[in-house]
Amino acid sequence: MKTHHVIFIAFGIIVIVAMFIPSSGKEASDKTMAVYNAIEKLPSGSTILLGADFEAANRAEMVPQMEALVRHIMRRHLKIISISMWDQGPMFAERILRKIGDEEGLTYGIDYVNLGYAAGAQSMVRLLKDDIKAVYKTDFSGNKTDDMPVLKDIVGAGDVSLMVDLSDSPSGPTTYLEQIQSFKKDFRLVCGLTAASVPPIMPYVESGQIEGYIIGLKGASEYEGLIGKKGLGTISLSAQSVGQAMILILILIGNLAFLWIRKIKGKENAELGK
Amino acid sequence: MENWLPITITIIIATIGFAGVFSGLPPLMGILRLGMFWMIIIGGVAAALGAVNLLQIHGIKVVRRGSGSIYSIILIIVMLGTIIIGISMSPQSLLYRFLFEFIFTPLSTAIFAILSFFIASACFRAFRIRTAEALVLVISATLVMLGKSTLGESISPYIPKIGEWVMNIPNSAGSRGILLGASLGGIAVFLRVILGIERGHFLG
Amino acid sequence: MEGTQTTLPIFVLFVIIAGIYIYNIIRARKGLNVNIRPIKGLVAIDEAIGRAVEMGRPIHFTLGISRFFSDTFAAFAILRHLASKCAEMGTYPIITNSVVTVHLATEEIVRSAYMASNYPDRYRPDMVRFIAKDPFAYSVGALDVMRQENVASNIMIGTFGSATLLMAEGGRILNTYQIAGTDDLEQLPFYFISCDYTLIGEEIYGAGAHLSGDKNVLGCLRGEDWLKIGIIALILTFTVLGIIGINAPLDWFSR
Repeated sequence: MKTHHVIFIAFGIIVIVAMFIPSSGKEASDKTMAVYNAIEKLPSGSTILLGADFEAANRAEMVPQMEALVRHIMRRHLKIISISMWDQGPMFAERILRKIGDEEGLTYGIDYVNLGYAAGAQSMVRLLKDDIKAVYKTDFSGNKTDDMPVLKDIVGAGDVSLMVDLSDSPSGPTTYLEQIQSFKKDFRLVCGLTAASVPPIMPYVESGQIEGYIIGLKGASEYEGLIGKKGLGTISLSAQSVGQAMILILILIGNLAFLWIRKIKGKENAELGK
Repeated sequence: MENWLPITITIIIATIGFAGVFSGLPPLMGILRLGMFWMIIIGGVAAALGAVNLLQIHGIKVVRRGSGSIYSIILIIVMLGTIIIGISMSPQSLLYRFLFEFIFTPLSTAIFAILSFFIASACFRAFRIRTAEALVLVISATLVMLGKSTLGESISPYIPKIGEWVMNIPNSAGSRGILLGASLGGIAVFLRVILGIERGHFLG
Repeated sequence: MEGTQTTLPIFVLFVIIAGIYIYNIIRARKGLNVNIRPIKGLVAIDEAIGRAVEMGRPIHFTLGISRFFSDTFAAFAILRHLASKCAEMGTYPIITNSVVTVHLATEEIVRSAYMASNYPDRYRPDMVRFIAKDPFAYSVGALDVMRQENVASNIMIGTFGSATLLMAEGGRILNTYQIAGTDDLEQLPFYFISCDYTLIGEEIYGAGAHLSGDKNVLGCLRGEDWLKIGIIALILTFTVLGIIGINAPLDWFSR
């Protein structure tokens, strides 16, 4: 059995056991509060563009974020137009929007719509900026968008009050910044991201182009605490924290082993030298 | 010279698009808009091309009964089945949603979860403090990791703040430098394409 | 289309940048000597080929999930060099792809490189393979190809999105000699910890010039150096002006 097999087995056992440890929510960070406030301060009836730009593989981090954000938006009776640059996101958006929409007593087509996926990435977003209905002639379910009440006052993506982009890659929010905010300076953007996607977008956060972001499961847990509804983000936090602690321990053990072996080799070399 | 047609098309479309973006003249913007709609269509067709290519490769493997051809048979059946269900019954149908939520998503998530094991073994192997730079790397990685997790908050309320400082200041500075360099490189490639001197993907 | 015009400052900047690039391309074509510092990762590519030849095993090359962005063109230059060298030295490359349009281009590049070499009969159509569109499905499929073909070296120029670590660490577990390069900041750390050499950002753009001596790319590299000096000067200038309270020039750029 090789070293990495031992590590895999130990890691697996510890994380599985940690899933049964209950966890409590954490106080929201500044960036999470910025997202919350951006949504909270919008006048009732405003329209939000929701980007479901993630793949099924990242559902563990993105779905808790999406559920918390959509719940907050719908409780505030803000309208939602959901779009996606990638093909798998709309399936999750459909399920979550319908589920929470029913819970909050909202109507599809009037209060929210899932337009689904449109190919073309950068080109698609650029066209979307000027005319949403030109890109999306039908929604995800095949209904025509021409007379949809939720799209009545919105011509282009730049007309919405705020964009909330849930993306598993930094290219998600940067595409919207490049293709919409470059031309419409008052276009506002907040995002939900996986933990690995944060470093490349930090320059945009520092410059104020992205007003705030929530990161991974911890961000989802913080947001759940803010809206007062415990969900998958909070429940999964223990396992994630234990996993991270395990990685730090492995780094420590790796370095101790490295120093020990170097010490032994040093002694052997010294004895050979004699 | 046999590739003059794709190169010419590239130069014309790129020039019109570029001129349209900066001038805003309606005729040019109209052509640019048409071009972007064509990008959406080509994006969709490319997905279909991928499926055709997969059928070709795995079909040949099945006919030749090469090693692993049983997996090729499974791939072809599942791929064609999903396409037929999606087209005939729509992505909203129960069966399609079942395939997505109870087969595709768990499989994708499981493969993604394998990354956590790889991270663990990679950290054990790679974070050896051999040099001063490696020490800085390990310390900053530890602070950022602790800062982003609940564990860091439990140890000290300063750890999340230090982790955030590392992300906001040194990380942002490095990210900006790399982004600037990559952007300049991107502009160089665009210029070579629009001038017709970047032709490697046409001529080979 | 209202509001689609970019602002004057951006146009002015673009004209300056384009002018510098074009001027240096012309100079390079006229014989300007552009010295490139040795980049270990690029030298390592030739070492990877040599290793594969000695071991009698193939080399795996991949462009990841990039779709004709700037890193894709840089990867084409490296692929062209790799295919030419493999044709001459008797080993063979295996190129796996995740994007169909890129797959078609890589087929053409490899075929042309072999036809232009002294050994065109060494070309095989199955050298270039399309695996899957989904990054994880692609990574698993590519790793399986690497295992089955028992590759000696793995060269990854591009990004794999979330699946980068799967690809890089999987290749390391298979004991392959790995060289990677990307301008995707998110994925660089994973390459660093799992690969023998990593090319960062514009080092992959310099690959075309280093490996092929292409004068156009050499000229662009020189132009890029000038531009970086200019940007540093601008940053320092605006910082000093900002400290002393003169913000008008920066406001003009930012509008």
